[in-house]
Amino acid sequence: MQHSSDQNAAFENLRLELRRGCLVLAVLSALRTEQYGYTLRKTLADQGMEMDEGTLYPLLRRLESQGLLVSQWREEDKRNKRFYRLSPEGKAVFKQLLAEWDSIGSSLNGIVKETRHGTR
Amino acid sequence: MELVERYLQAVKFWLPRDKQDDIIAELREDLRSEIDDQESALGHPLEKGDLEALLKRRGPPVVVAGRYLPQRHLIGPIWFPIYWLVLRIAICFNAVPWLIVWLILVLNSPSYRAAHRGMALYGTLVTLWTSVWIQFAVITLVFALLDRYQTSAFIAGWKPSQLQPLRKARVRVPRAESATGLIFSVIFLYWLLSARAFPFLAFGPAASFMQVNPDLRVFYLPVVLLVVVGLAQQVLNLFRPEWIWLPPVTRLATSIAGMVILYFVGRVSPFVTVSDPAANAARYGDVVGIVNLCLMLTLGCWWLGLAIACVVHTFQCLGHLRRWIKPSDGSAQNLPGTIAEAPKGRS
Repeated sequence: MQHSSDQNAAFENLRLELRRGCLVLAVLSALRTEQYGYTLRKTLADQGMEMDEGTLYPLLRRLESQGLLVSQWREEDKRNKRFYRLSPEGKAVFKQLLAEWDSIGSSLNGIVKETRHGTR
Repeated sequence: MELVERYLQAVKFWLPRDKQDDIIAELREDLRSEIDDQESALGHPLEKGDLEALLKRRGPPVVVAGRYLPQRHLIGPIWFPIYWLVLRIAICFNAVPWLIVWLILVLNSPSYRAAHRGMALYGTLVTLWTSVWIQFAVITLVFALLDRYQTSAFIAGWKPSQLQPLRKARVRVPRAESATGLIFSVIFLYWLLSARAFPFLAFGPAASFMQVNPDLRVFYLPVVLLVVVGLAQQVLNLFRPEWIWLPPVTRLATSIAGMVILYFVGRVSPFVTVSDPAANAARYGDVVGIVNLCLMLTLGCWWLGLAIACVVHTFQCLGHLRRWIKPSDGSAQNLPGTIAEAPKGRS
């Protein structure tokens, strides 16, 4: 029983670690069109990439401080909202990251494929 | 909505001043959007319980605010293992000898016991506690400074050539070690057995005027037995070198027994006396007094040494016990060069 819960905790940690790197790519990709925080969260959730606000907003600020995003406070539906979009630097970095993602994906597919064949 | 504002106020408290308003405005907007969504789905305003559940899901204000702050640490992962090792060694070398000396005083000195009752005992323990805290504070401060100013130099200055030589896993007691120990034990036992009949072997020329206090004779047999136990261990390890647990277990047992014997020996005074007082007391009384003083100091140091040995052997025994209860997956034994030496069965 204890072993099983340890295994679950280990899996959960690894899963979060695996997702962490992907979140940046997902956010950058979604912000090719301008959005504010809440709609961005919903867009990501609709695509199966749920992200809580405690992770999303600090990440947006970090990406903005790195110059990859630009933001603007604007009124919409009589409420002030902060809209984010990719900066020109952000677009360039996003392209590079996407290429890296493809490369990792194809390498990993190869490795996993070999492993799967090996374990059968 | 008052609850939401209270929540935001609590988050704001933990945020850096220059970013407080901006972050709180964005969080407020996010909360309102989520509340609007839930209310539209339910068809009525959120009740207090729903709102509490929503805020609970977001987490405690300090945690929410913490995610906006840069990661901070006093001692980072580079220095922490060294810091932890130094801290343990320093506190061990301070607290353990202190406690041993204090125990000796409590057990041996009625006047100390009488003077340190009640509040005085509390004061003594506070002294130890304070010294441990000061050590902790100083070591932590030194490592915090190292972490802040020396981390880059530490990483850049690391040289692979300075690594420790490869350590072999100890899977057997070397026969040379057992044989050497055995030879010395036999010589010591022979000396011990002979010294009783030939005091010259113990005192040299001073045997003509000095003798062991007859009250100490009662300890002779236990001391001989201790030497025999040590000798038996060396003989056993000579033939069964894979019994690597035997030396620490034997040494722990003999060290404890030695401490008990020395404790009672220390209560006998004097250790040596003038052999023919009528003829020698006037001439050699002072010499015997000095010898007794030296013996007292030697016994004290010896006792302290045995106490430290006990601590070391206890850790070694616990290590063997742990390995016996929970054998490792053998990864260490799979290292090149050790697999051939690995003993069969448990060690």
